[in-house]
Amino acid sequence: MESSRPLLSLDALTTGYQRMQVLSGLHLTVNPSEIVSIIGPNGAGKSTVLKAIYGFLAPWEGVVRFRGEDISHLPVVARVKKGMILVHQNDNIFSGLTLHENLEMGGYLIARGSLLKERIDSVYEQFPFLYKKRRQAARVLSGGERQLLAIGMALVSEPELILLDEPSMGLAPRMMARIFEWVGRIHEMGKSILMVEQNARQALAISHRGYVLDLGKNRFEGRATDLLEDPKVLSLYLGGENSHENL
Amino acid sequence: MTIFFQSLLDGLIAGSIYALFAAGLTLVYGTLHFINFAHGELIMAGAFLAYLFMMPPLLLSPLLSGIFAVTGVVLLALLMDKTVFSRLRNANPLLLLIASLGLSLLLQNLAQVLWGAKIRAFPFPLQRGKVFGPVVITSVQITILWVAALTIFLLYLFLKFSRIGKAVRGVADNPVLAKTFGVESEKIIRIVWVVAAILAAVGGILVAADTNLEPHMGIVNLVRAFAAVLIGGAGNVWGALIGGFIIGLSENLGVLLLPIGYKDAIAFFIIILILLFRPEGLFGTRWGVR
Repeated sequence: MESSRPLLSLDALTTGYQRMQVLSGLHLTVNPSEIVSIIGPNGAGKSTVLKAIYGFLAPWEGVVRFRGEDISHLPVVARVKKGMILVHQNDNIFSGLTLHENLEMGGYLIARGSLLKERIDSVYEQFPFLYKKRRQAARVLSGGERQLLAIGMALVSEPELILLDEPSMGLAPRMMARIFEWVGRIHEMGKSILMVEQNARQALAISHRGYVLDLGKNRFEGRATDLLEDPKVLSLYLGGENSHENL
Repeated sequence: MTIFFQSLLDGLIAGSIYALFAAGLTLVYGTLHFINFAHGELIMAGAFLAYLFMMPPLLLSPLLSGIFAVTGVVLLALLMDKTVFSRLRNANPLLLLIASLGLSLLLQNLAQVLWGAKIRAFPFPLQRGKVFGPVVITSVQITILWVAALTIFLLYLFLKFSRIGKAVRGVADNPVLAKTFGVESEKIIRIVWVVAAILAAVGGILVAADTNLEPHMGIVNLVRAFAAVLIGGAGNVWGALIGGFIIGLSENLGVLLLPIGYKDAIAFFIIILILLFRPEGLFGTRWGVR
């Protein structure tokens, strides 16, 4: 798992909205073909990390590196071109566009039509329900189907790194399990994944490493299996040791 | 009965032009989220520029005049965006609306300074209409119908099948998500201004060819376009096109029942009805382009 050069690294990143500071001096790395989870209580700044990595938020201090290159001040479009894609936690589909058009938007930066078609066809192979409904407006999809479409759209651009913002948010348990299963399968396709999750246990269960964020700072970090057994992490962020048996 | 069919035809002709106005207005609303009062002046500018090219000393053909006029209006719209609207990109929509109202008044008065308030007409020879069964239609009107139909068809092809057209719909639907996939909104906004200007200019030239032109022609047509946009649901291009035809038909069929002086009131009447009973439009906002 340890590679000489991380795919993504945040070095002492501090940022926020207007005058409200959210992240302070954050460190984080994602190595090639790794699944990394960021967990922590509400308001810890988990989603803000993804926004800063993706360029929706400029860093106040610190550096964002992708494959060793400083991308801190690049616009979103340039970061997409470098091989990352963000899946938002909600509002992550174009509800008035057809499913097919949604996938085409996922590959907006692919200029060659034949290549775009090839990529979309491969997403249809993985998610046959998308093909069946390809001419329907995306608003007809259920919550879980929307999440899968959003992941499908991200795959069209063939990113190296996928940033997932709370992929299981608001889903029924069965659908949640399916989403986590998909995260595993995307990893098997050779993608690296940085995931922010409220369902910390399930997220860590499929991750290689994890970061615990609290009030915009690194609190704990380590191998996911170690975090799941760390008594402090358990009692503070995973709802105690007892609930471990219940899940 | 003859007058009914004649009014139906006149309604279709007027409706096809209003559809062009409304589609542009709603497209700007859908991506920039404000009602552009200066859209009427893009219409007016189209008509006056075409007039300028057709009259002495230039005396260009109607086709060439039309092409130059549309180009001029596209440049005007881009200039409007660059000098005024782009500076207010993240401003309150009310501020944008007032800025567009200011631009509208400025351009109306500029036209009045340049051309005077006189009502003018394109230098077309008077024509005897051709009789088709119960209706009479002039060759200018036939040209209006097919130019409008062709423009609507090209708009459909652009929005439905081109990569940029789909990105325009994506930005209107969910701007943050569009940005996420690498769509640069400033580029899309410029495209929207170009398309809206083409629709306004073509419509303005056609309406002037069908009737006449004067510096304040923008406002009365803006009201009709606004009514059509509301019928279709704000931001919904297909709805606005249908709304344009509904306004054209109700104006021309309405005067069979009402005194002719009330013709311009019909669009206002429809605006009030829609706002009272179906503010989301007949087809809802989330349909069509969005």
